Amino acid sequence: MNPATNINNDDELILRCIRQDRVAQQELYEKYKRALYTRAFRMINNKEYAHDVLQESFIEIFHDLKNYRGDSGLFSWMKTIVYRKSLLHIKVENRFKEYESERYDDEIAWRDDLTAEYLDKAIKNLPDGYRAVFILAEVDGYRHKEIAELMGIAEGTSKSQLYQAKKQLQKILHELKP
Amino acid sequence: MNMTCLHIRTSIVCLVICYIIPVLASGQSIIQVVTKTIDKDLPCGTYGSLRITGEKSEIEIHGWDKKNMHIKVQLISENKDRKSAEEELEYLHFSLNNEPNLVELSNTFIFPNWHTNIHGNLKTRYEVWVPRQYIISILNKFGFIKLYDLETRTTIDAEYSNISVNNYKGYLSVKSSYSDLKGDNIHSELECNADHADINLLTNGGKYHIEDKYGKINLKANEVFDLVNIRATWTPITIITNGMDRYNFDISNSYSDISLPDHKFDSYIKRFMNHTIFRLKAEKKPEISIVTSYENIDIK
Amino acid sequence: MKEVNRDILQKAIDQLPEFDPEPWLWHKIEVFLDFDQKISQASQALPEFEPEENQWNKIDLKLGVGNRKIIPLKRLATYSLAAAASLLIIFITIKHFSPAGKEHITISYSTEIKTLINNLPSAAKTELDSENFIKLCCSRNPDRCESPEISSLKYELENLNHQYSLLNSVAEQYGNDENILKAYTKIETARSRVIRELVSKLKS
Repeated sequence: MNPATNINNDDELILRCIRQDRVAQQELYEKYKRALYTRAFRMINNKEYAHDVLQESFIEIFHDLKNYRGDSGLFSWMKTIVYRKSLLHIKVENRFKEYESERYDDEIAWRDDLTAEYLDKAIKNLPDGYRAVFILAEVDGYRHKEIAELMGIAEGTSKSQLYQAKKQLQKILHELKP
Repeated sequence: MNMTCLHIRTSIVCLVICYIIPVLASGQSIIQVVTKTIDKDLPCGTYGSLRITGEKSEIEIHGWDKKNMHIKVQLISENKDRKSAEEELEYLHFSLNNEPNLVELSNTFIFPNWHTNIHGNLKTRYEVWVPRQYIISILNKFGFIKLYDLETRTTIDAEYSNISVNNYKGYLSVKSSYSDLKGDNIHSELECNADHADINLLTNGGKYHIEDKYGKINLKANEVFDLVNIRATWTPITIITNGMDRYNFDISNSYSDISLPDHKFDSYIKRFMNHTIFRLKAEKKPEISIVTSYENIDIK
Repeated sequence: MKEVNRDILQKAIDQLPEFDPEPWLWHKIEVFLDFDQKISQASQALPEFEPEENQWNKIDLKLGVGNRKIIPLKRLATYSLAAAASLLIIFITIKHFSPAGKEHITISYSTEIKTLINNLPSAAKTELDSENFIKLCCSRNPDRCESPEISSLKYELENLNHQYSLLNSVAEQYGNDENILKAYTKIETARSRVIRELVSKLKS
């Protein structure tokens, strides 16, 4: 899922992009467009908006590259920009509903015959808020603290939303393939 | 000379009387206003969240392109007597919580045990300038909420707190109780759950999901709506489209009627029992879908 | 939360499909970048202007050059160092003890001429008469008042009366102002409308 990053190549590429080298900028775009567009599209579930987000994200990336400090990887930094812009396009249910309990007693059991194709369809059918949390946590490995910051919710809400998202996914998977 | 002085004195006395009498006769008073103002600048990035929880608050949020937040909060006490105004101001408390990527503002009233009802008026005014894309969340009762120049995701919970949104792009979720919603130059995905709210929106496209009862809905499109979905009751509805031929329509009204701009659409209206239905569908057009009862729908 | 077959989920996630944006998207981005670059170049190429020849003399005059005391360079360096050190200490102290961001608190006093509303107005006599009429109709003809339309209006009227009491208690506790009055007007308008509807339906 993550494009291979050769640190030395990226450093040089970044420098050339900062110097407004158009060839370098296109090279950076071509290298990361698939990974970033996939994330935007999966989050928003709308091709047109996903294109808008990718366009705005890259403009911001090229604008802010001079401020990029390199403490997180380049791809990680770009991904965060894309997710922030994507989240503007979706709604988040119950943003301020405080989760009431830390007990998640129900077991989540994934089917033996679960394939990427069905998972992809099921994710598309999730409500926006659940989809956002599931993608950030499970597909991209964000911690709940990071998700909470991105989405402007409490950390506890992120945990409970993820749990609910998985329960909902199970139902959808069962409907898609009884 | 003596006559001139006398005339001048008489005129001045008359002027003063003419000023005081109307003030007294109209029931108006001279009110002392004590205001505590807190002005604060907070550095912040382009992205983050602002949450305001208010009661008897007047809230204004402005979006800007700077990477900092400017907050101005005024705690206001009004009373005929200045000393009482100063004492009562102490009952109004304000708090600011500044965490990474989240700023929370709120006001509360804390009265001492011996307190009787106040004889003046207490309120809080918030004016906040934030980066345009800051996520906003507001809960307010008995006041008003005004948003300007934002491009973000906003959640509002308003009770007796009229809402005004100007030059807005993005997602907007509104829960309104007795709070009118007015929007000017907005392009958003709106989800509004309202009761007793008059909703007036001048839009440049976007999607509008609205539920309302005992209110009024007036939507005008400068650009084409992407979607309109209204569920209402006891709420007269007016939709000003930018051309009927740009949309699909799925409209039903119980115990009241549907008005259309042109008689050529009459053949698409069906009436039976107490229900009136207007359906006009073609491929790949944005849809205007309304289900309502007891009040008219007017499509222009 | 216990998860069974977590590895199967992870495998499916790893195999999720990827998508490419449309080919024209880079060109759209390029247009923006070109535009930004042109603006940046144009602002760098803005013309520069020279001040008048005798401008320094005017500035010098205003600075009051005439009777300046000349401080020996060594002493000047010592004074500067001491001043810089003091400023640094003050800066660190302020930074350390002050919360993030500048804050100013002021208290101001002013007077206004306005009407202080002590109590919210109570219902008009005609409305009270109408409500009595509604109660009388329903006591004489309860079946009529059980119809969905009329019972929803009656329920709404009760709700509005409750809202009015709530508003009164808020006004007593925190004071009356134009926002409370607007709220009151809204309730009153809604009440009048509901009462009118009820009376009209009961009379028909």
